[in-house]
Amino acid sequence: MSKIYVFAIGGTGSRVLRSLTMLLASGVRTQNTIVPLIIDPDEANADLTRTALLLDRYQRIHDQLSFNSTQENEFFATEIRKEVAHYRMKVDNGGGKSFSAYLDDNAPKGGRSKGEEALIHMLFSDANLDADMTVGFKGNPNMGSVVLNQMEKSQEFGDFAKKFTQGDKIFIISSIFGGTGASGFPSLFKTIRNWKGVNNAVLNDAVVGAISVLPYFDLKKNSESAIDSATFYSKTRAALEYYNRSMTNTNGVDHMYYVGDSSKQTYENSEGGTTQRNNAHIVELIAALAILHFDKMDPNRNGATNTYEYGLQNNPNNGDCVTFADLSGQSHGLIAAPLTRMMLAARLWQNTDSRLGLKGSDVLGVQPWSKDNKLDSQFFNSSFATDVEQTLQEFTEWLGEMAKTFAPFNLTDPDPLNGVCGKPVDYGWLGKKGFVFLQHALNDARKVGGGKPEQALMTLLYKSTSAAVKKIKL
Amino acid sequence: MSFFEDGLYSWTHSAYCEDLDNYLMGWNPTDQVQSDPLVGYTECGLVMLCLAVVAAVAFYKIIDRPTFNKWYHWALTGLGAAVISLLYATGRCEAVVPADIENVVGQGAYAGFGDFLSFGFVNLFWTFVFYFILSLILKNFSVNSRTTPF
Repeated sequence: MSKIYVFAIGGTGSRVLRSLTMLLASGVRTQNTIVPLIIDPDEANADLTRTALLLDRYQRIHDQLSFNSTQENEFFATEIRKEVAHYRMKVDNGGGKSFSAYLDDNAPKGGRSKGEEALIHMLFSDANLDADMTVGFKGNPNMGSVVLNQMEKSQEFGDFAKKFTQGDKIFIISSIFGGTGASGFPSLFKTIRNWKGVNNAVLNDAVVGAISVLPYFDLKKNSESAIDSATFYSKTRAALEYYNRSMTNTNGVDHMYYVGDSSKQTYENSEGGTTQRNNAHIVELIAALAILHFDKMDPNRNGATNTYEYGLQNNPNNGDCVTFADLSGQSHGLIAAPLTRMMLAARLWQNTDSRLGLKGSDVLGVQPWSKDNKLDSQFFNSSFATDVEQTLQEFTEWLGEMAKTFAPFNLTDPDPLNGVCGKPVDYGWLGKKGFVFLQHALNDARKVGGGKPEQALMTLLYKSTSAAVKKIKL
Repeated sequence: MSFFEDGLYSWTHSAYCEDLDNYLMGWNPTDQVQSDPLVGYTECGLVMLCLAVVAAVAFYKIIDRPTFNKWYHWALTGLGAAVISLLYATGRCEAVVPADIENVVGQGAYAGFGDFLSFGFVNLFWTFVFYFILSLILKNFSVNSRTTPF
């Protein structure tokens, strides 16, 4: 199977990757294997570590399951491959040194000329030169472009080039209004097109897609922080101008996607590190949809740059919140059912009712689905079940974080089937409702999985939540 | 119907007096002839069988809920049908049999409430037995109770 190398640059890159992982975990499938490569000099960035942990869990779950034509489970179906440690392409960020020290370390032998010194002081402010790059470039793409230009020298990039084969594609996720993403995208793209090392012929001519995320959030004012969201638009205009001249033309990016949001959420102002843990946003979900769109594209180049923007079917009528009803038919068809299935699986798993929760004491070893498939309390204490539980927990958190911008579900409705906004369920007079419906659907799935409890559990969850989705009539 | 008279109840008729057994078999103590009794084994047997079928179908197909599929739910349903069967058999005997048998009290024929109650318990027992047998078949057609009672 061919691969899509997804380069996720900076905090936004990691967050988009998180959304993509959630979609794939829900059962959205891609034709190609996904190989995430995170580029972020800030290795303690909470957005990055959270995404890497999620990817690790996803991979462990996927590896325990089989997905041949006889299997009916689609959860975690797409392969996500780890080709570098922690999914991360290391970037030399100076190891705690200041930017000026970094420049000195990379200066030509014999030092810089007076003219070069003058140029440095023209391009970089004193604050830039004194800045510590441990937590990234703090919204300064001029610094990032210098550091990330060294990417071609990294071991990981060489390994990536070696493994890249004919038919593989590349997708780059970056924000245009920050530091790492805005500078990393052009640097990485230039490195790919001009690579002269191993496998250069294939890599130079690879189909490249990219999403440039336009401003979609503001940051709280913080005099201690070097990042000021008031500069986001001016940076965006400058970068767009540059992209227009040098990225989206002949031999440029093959498929260019843009997404942003004028109605912006305000986040805490963190320069990076463990405190940079922004809430999920619909823009990141839409950016993940761009990767799914790119997945279907021809792996051969046709020379021109195709540019895409995302539009909603309707203006959201639930404040600024988007629901499934506001999505276009294509997006709705792609994500509504999988996300609903995953939400139902999460609600079922997290229900603590002893009679109706998935792990209830009156359920395990009592309900036929549990008895028939040997899914007992011992199995639910296994590392596989723990991974699934944590993924479902994070899925719920992800939905909760997005709720201000994308709220297709009411997660507090006691009936999970009725939790899909705008879709009240007609159960009929004597119909089984809510969690009773889900337990009935689990029992109706009967013996599944060919004897392997991990397979059985996921197939049961998939089949029962599919029955619920049918009932909901999305 | 010989299934009830000669078969099923013949195994348990020692639980009550012979006069009641004879009566339920169709012996008319007034005319001293074999005839159709007002209440007999066939009627009580059919009611008992129907109750067992209704209870099993209700448990496995009509109710069939994941919140009502434990062994004690199953036992409760069967017991419910069995108790109705007991009440029916006892009540019918109490209402009909004494009238017939009193006519021949002088000839020494007599069956009392204790016998009727015993006959009721016999029906309770057989109802539950049939409920159990039907359960073994019907559980295979159930979604939520296919592993109940075991």
